[in-house]
This record gives sequence, C-alpha cells and structure tokens, in this order.
Amino acid sequence: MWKNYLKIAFKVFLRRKFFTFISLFAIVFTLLVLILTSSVLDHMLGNHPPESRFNRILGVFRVQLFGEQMFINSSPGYAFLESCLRDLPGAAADCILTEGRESNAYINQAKLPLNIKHTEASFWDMMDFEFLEGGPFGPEDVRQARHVIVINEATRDQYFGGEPATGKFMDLDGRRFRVTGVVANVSRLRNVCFADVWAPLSLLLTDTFRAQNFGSCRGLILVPDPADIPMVKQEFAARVRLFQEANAKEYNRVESWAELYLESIVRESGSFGKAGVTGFFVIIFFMMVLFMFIPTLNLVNINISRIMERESEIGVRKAFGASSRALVVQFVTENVLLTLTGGLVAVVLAFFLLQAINDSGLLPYAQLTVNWRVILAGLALALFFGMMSGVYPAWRMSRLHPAQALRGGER
Amino acid sequence: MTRHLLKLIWNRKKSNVLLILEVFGSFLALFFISLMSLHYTDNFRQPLGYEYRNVISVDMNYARSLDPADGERNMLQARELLRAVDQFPEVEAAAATFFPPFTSSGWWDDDTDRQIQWQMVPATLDLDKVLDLHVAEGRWFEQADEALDWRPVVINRELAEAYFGDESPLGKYIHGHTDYRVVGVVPSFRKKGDLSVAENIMLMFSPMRDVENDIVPQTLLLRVRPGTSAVFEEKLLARLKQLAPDWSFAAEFLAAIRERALRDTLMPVTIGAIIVGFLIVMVAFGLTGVMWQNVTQRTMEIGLRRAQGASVRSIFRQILTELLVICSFGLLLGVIVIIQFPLLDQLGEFSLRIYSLSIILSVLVILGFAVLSGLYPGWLATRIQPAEALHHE
Repeated sequence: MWKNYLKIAFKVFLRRKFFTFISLFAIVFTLLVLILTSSVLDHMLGNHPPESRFNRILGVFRVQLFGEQMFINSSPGYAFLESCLRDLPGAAADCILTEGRESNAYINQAKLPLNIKHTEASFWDMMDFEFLEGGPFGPEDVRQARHVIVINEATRDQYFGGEPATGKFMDLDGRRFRVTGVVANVSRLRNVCFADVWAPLSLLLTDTFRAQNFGSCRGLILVPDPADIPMVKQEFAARVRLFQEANAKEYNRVESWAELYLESIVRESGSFGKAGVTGFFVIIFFMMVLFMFIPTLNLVNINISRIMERESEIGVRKAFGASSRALVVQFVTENVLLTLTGGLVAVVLAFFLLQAINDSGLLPYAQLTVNWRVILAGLALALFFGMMSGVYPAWRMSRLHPAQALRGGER
Repeated sequence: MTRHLLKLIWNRKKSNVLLILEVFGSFLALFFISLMSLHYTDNFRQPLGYEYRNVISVDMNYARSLDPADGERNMLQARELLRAVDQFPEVEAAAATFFPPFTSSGWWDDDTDRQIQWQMVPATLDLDKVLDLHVAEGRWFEQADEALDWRPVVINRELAEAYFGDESPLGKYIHGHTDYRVVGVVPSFRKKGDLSVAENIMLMFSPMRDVENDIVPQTLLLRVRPGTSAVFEEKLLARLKQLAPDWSFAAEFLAAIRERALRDTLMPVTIGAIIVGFLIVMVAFGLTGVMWQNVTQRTMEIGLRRAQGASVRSIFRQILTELLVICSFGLLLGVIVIIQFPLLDQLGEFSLRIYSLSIILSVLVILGFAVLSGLYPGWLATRIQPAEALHHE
C-alpha cells in the first residue's frame, strides 16, 4: 500500500514539473531560513567547546544597588563578587573575569584592535579551550601578577605572522606581555568566553578596583550537575542578602542573579516577565510559525490546485470504495514526502551557505555548522510544515463527490 | 464585465480566500521592508550637522565611583589629558565629551511639565572646531563662559522649535533637572548618525572645573591633520597611558565607528529584504501555478466564450483582470490594516510622507508581480480552441 502511495506520488510529481518546482522552491526556501536560524541559535546557546559545560555554568552578569538617593544598575564589581561568589556550597569552581574591552596592539605601523578579558586561573579549568600550543597561565602567574597572556589563533597569525608564539613577547597598550599559549578562535557570539587575548585579573587589582561593588566584572560558577542549579542559586541569593545586611548603610536593597547565560539575556530583554526562558522559546516558536504563514498558504494553494487536477483519479478511487481517511493519508504522505525532499535539499544548501557565512567574516570567528541537532530541528520543521500545508487540501480532496469528480475530470 | 468577474471570483471564494490571505501577508512583509529602507534612505540624505572625517575618538575608561573625592581626581586627570593631547602637532583641535557621535548611548534630560525630552552632549570649548559646527543663530561658547553663574547651552534647531516654537530661543531658559540658558542654535545635530532621525540635542558647556555642576568626560575628540594615520594613534595612546597609568584608552577614527554603526543597522534590514524578496518571488510562482490550473480547469467556459465571439485579447484580459482583482482584495485588506497606525497617530519616528510612499511602492510592486504571474496562464487561455472545448462536453 505504502509502496503504491510512493509510486503514485512520484508519478504525480513528474507529471506537473512546474508545480513540483514551485512547491520545492517554497519548501526549500522556508526550511533554509529556519535551519539557518536554528544553527545560529545553537551556535550561541549550545554546549560547544570551549563552553562544553555551558548548561551548568551560572554567571553573575548584573547587580542592582538601591540606595537613599541613587540607583545603580551595572555589571558587578570585584568587591561584590568577592563577597557573594566565592566557594558557594554545592559549586565546583568559581571565577571572576572582566567583561572584555577593546585594546590595541600595533604592528608595522598598523593598528590591530584586540578584545581583552582579564581572568583568574580557574577560568581555564571551567572552560575547555583547545590549546594549539603552550598552555594557560597558572595560579602562580596570577598570584604574582605576571605580565602573561593567552592569545587566540587569529592574533597569532596577525601579530606573529603564524609563527609559534609561545614564550614570545607582545606589546599591548604600551605594556609588554609574554605569551604562554595559543588557543583556537572563540566566536564573538559566545559572549561569556570570547576574547582575542586573555590576561591575569590580578594585573587590574588596584585598591580602587578591589573596593568596587559595581564595575565591569562578571562572576562564573561551575555547578557539578544541572540538577544542583536551583540549590546553588539559592545559596547565591542568601549571600546577596548577607551582603546587603553588611552594607545596609549604603544600600536599602541589592538585587543580583546567578543565572544561565540564556536566562540573563531573557531577563535583560525584560519582555518575557515571569514566563522567562519558556516564554523566550514560545516567542521564538511563534515567530517561526508566523514566518511560515505565507509559504504555508502558498503551498496550500498549490496543493489545492493540484488536487483539482486529479479530480478524476480521486473520483475513480472513491467509486471503488476508498475511504476518505485513506485518501487523506495518501495525500498527506505525498506532501510530507515532498517536504522531506525539500528538507534534504535545504540542509545541503544550508551547509554551503553557512560555509560562505563563516568565510565571509560577517560573524567574527563564528564556525556555524550543520550538526545533528540542527538537522533534527530541520527534520522536525519539515514534518511540521508538511502536515500544516497538507492537511487542509487533503480534507478538501476527501470531500469531493465521486460522481461529480468523475464527470468534471478534465482532459 | 467587472460585475461578471466579481461573480466568478465569488463562485470560487473558498480557494480565493486563501489567495487573498497570501497576497495580504506578502504585502505586509513587503510594506515593512520598504518602509524601513525608504526611512533609512531618506534619513541618510539629510545633513548630519557635523563633520566626522579626520576626527579621532579616544574612549577613556576609568574607575567610576560615587565618592566626590574620586570624581575630583578624575576630573583633574581628564583636564590634564585634554591639555596634553592638544600639544601634538598632528592635532588641530581637541575637545572632550561624554558619548561620541554614532553611538546610541546617551544621556537624556527632560522638562517634565512640557513633556519635552532632549539628549545632553557635554561640550568643551573647542568642540565646534573639532566637529566643524556652525552656529546659525547666537554664538558658540567662549572662555569667559567659565565665570558665568548660569549654565550656557547651545541647542539644535529641533529642540528650539519644540521648546520655543517660532520665537527666538536666544537668552531664554530651558528647564530640565536644572535651568539652562540658550546662547546659540545649531542646525540639526544627528548624534546617532546617518540613519537616525533628528533628535533634540542640547550641547552643554563643560568647563571641566568641578564635579558638582559638570560631568567627568569619557571621550576625547581630536581633529587631526588630513592624512594622519594609525601610527599617530599609537603615539597618542602611549602618551595618555604615561600620563594616566590607571586608566585605559581605546582610540578609533570616527569614520570607522560610523562605518560599523551603518553596518550594524543595515544588516538586519538587508537580511529581511533578501527574505522578503524570496517570499515575493515564491508567491508569484504560486499565483502562476494556481492561475494555470484555474485556466486548464475552465477550458469549457473559456471555449464557450470564444465560440460566442470573444476575441483572444478579451480572454487574455479576463484572466489577467481576475488575478488583479483577487490581489486587489488582499492589498485592500493590507492597506486597511496599515492605515490604522497613522489614523491612531502611532507613526513613531516615521514621517507620513515616507509611510504613504511605502504603501504606494508596495502596492505597485505586488500588482507588478501579479501581472507577471498572469502572463503565462493568460497566454494559455488564449490558446484554447472553441471546437476542442465544446467537444469536451
């Protein structure tokens, strides 16, 4: 039976090549856009090296301090993180780092703008960097505030002309640094990790810096198991309360969050309220469906046209006793088959397009790929799309009156 | 003829409703993209109000603190840095401000009674030379202003009109969180850059004396000799770092910041335009398919018309008009929805002229595509032979 459906479907596709082409065009284009979107989302939010533990790293990205006459909404400062973040019960590791800023190196009279982050040694353990040569700076380097840096591959290529850089020196903002290692490039879209150059945080530790409750730092907490996240969040909240009590003279209220990166984006955008991350995904899903609206209608229209053309075939099948259900199943199968073919083409096209985007340098250091997660998403989308655009025409078809269909069949 | 067509369309209402919805959706998408593109194009053609070429912007990063003593120290440091950079032979003029042009960050003040908001731009004495500002009315700041016991400001044309209407603003006061007195008016000053609409701007004289009435600047702007390259930036940064080892600096030509701002704003619109372009082509193909099918199914009807003496031209016209009428329904629906925004006075920053222009443009483009998709089915319809059609029955 299924074999026959497939055979018929294939014949039908070949009979009206223009229709098949239009349908495929619509399907491929729609799925291509959706696959590209999911690829970018996956690239930003998935567990990828160096952030292989992205789903269990909590970040402290913001602090809000409410005083008598002022309100500060800022990235946290060193002092605040020092009192709220260190050695939380249930956490495996913690780390304070800076948000990153632009810094300049000069080679051959040309400027090389570089993004620099200052971190502690534990950063290298929490993350999972691929070292091309050398290694990270260690706790001793940080304690002694040595002028050492880890650089990424692109910086090595530009500053050292691709030669091994470990042990060599690099001038940055008028200071001389020794390179301890070179890592593979990290995409700029991986906001937590991204930098061109990483230097020890201790280089910044002046008294003013140490005393700041707000500033330009971030805290990271590694949780051993995703299930422990709520507990660690509570511990952090308790520390924040303690911090407020200790500084009650200055601040009436202190708000801060230990949260996953996605949760912070959702909270900062402020448009999802209590719905939080779920709300974010609901909105994304809703936007995708909205985007599919026109292509779906287009496909529905074409499908209806195609059914009209097959009136006689349907009439014959009905006259010989095929149930409406069988016809619906047949038609939806055909449609899903077509969408899956389109999905396949879209995945292949997406592969090449992503390559082109990566090569164009549009998203610095981004390595967008079509991985199994994206393919699965594409497959699910194709099925969903096939159903959506197939069910209504199939229903219309099943309601055709056999006698009329037989008589009205053209040619 | 029209009544006949409407009747035909009504008879096939079920499938036509879907077509109409499709045209409606495409029209909305196209309208949105053309609105954005026309809006940006229009803004891009307006004067910026300042000259960005050969200006270096130095971003100064220092430890912020609420302690007034730290503030005083930072202010002193910033003054010294400004004086120092002015010494370079490459620098023609130097000034300090808070946020550089072409960034969306800003500092706003407003008159709550009159509901007028404006952006504050702190300006030291030479900012007019650095950004090549031309005061249209009144004067720019002068050295003697440091001694005044009121705060002199230069406002742009937009703020002057919003606050004072047709009256001359010179010598009058603007009431924000404190009182400002207008000494001069400049033409539009579009701080956010080429693609933004003109905003209300207040250039506030900043003598960099005390932190109570002034703000510690965050950006130095230097007009350099034409032809000055990045090599000078290195020299400049080294000198700054030497003077203020605790601070960090980043230097960039305003032209580069502008380039980046343009790219960041235009990228989403470009992606949107590409997607909508494909959508429209796809819909056009879809319409062709549906009309084609429509024609083959109506062999009998068309054949009959031919047998009764209808010309090839009139058959072609019939098919094309049918398609156009269906599209017009979709467009009508779309225009009715879109026209609600200006009717409810919800245009935001879009001008009515651009808004109406985008509606007209989108309608024409959709109709154009409809004609294109009708050509082939129309031609097919003219090929139907009366004899063959009648034989059918």
